[in-house]
Amino acid sequence: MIAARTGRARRAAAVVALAIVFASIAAIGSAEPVTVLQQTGDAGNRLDLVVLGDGYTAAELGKYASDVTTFLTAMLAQQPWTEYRNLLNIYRIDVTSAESGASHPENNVTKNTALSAAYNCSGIQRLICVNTTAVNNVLSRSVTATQRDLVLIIVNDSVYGGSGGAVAVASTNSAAVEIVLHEIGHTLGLLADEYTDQPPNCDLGVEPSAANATLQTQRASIKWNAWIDASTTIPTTTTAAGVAGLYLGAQYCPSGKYRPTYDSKMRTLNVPYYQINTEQIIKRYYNFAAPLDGASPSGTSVTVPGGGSTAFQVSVPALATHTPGVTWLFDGASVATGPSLVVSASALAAGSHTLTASIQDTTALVRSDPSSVLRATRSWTINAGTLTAPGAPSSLSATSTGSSVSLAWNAPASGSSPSEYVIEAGSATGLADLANFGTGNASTTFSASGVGAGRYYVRVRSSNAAGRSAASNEALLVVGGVCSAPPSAPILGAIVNGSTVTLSWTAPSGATSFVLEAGSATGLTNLANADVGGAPSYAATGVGAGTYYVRVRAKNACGTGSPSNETIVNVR
Amino acid sequence: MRRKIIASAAVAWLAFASCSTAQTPGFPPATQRSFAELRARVARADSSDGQELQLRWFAIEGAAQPASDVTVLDRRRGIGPLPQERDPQLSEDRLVVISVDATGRELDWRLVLDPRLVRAEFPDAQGRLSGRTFQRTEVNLLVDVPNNPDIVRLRIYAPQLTNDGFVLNLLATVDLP
Repeated sequence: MIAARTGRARRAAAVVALAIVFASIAAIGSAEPVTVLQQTGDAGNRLDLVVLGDGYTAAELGKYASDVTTFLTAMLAQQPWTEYRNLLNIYRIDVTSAESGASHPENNVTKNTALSAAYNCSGIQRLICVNTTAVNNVLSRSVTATQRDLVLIIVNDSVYGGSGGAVAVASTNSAAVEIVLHEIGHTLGLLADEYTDQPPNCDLGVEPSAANATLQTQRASIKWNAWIDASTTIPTTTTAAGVAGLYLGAQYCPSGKYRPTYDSKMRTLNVPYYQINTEQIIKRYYNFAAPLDGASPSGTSVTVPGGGSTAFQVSVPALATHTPGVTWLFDGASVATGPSLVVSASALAAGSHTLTASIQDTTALVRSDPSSVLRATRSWTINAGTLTAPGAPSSLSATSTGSSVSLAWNAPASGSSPSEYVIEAGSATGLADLANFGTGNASTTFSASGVGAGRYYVRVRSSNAAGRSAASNEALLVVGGVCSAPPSAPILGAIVNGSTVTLSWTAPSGATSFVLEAGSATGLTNLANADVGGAPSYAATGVGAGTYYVRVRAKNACGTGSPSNETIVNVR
Repeated sequence: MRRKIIASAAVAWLAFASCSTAQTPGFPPATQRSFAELRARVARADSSDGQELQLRWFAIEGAAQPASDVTVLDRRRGIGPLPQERDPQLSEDRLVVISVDATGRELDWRLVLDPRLVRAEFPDAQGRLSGRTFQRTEVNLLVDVPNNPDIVRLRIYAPQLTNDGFVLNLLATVDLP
């Protein structure tokens, strides 16, 4: 409707508006099915194209899907869509119509379709208009606000036609993809028409805002000057394709206004956009999508633990043939490239620092980016933590297989990072009389083989240059098999031959070694108390004259058993 | 001639009526302003959660500004994040929608494609294009603005390119329900 309204018309329109309100309420139903055809990233950081169909009955939704695929295949085969398709999300909304096709008022053909697509809009046979209320109702209930940066409606009619504007409309005619790409040049790229036919009117009064039209004739003032070779004459008269210059005629003006190439898709279908329009479309891609998808750590202030390090990482969208580069700046100085960087506390001076990941798409398709939309940055404030003694390790566990033992524990949750751990083992709880050594590294596991049988009370401590932590929990490590108790008492006998004393005893079940005790009086061990190994006998030579009160005890992994009978040995 | 005068009077009355119903507390909104001034003075608000407004818009051609009758058809709050334009640029096929609080303070602005504009462009046998543009006077507009309860009113401006940059002309003011 393209007419001024009178007061009566306004009142009538108010009634119509009221009717539309109710119609809209009635029309608000469940969302139409949405098929994600391409999801390359979060909708909030992508250019999002949503496709709707009109004039497809329920039985024709398969054809609709095929038509959309055909259309998108043709579209994405052209630059810059091919190179930048990974910055594009595409959704297909399956809108079902009661009737197939589109209305042709010029032929008195009316179709009942969901979006009311009709040719002959404003009396122009090839101009297809749709009901914007119906379109917006579908968009509102089917996709989010971030998923409809570009809206395309495909009409199930093979007769060539379409329209541009807030939504692009195209028939299924194979030639329609070209006009849609031209229209997207307007809506996405803010590009001007480069043809000179009128109407619309030629306006030579103001420098166009579009990237591809100018009134300027001085080389330095031409907005696409970065693309013009010094050898190219201004104005440019060559008809060769793709030569950037200053060509007379643009935006409905045969003279006085200039375009950047002799031809382009903003002037003629079935030709490329060429350099200047391609550059502008890429920049408008980056209006919706930063070349940065994510970063870790997620916060903006990070303390690198004393003695430790922190890994910083950014994720960058990969484009078809290139990937934006990442440069890391530490306090403004470039220190590294690539998607990740590890910062060690030892490399940090005291105080606060700034780490910045600078991501830049360096495509040769863009030469001028004054708004720096091809660049994104992510910064962190970094503080170096003070080195303190680490906290105690936790959850120590100990296992053995034969004579091999394995220890594992959790790193401390507090304090600075340990540089190593100290393992303690004792013959009784709390003791460290059997082992007390540093592991030499920050690993939270330890293994050893050839460990003697026995019961070991094990603990672990964290250690770094600032100190040593309290002990972890204590774990009981049993080496040498399973036992339930120390062995029973052996039966001891002794033979004296001069200064040689030969002792022998019975070996109780499970005994792994024997402890020999000797004293100067009954029950004492003041003369000998030693493990003499696993043999059930022992010969002592050169024994001095005297009376010895001798006993022997059997040992196993569970401990040392009761003493044998006490034998009195007299050496003369 | 007489018919023309009556029509003009009707349009002027409509413009006045529209202006009256849209009158806001405090100073009335500027009917013409600089886009650069808007960008410098009004920061775009947090876009983490939005509300969607579906507007029915009867544009009245040839009238003094504002000359549109805008009705809110639907309002949905809490729709999630809004599109974030990293480098919002104006063109003559876009509109500027400014969100306003009850005191007339401007809280946010967004760019939307002008739903009135229809491009009719077609190729000849060689692919060379020609075309026309139309202004529909009766359209539906989907507007996403921040989900800020202080927003009670929208002002819709159309850009006009001048040698000093874009100037915004007030098209319509609509109170939110």
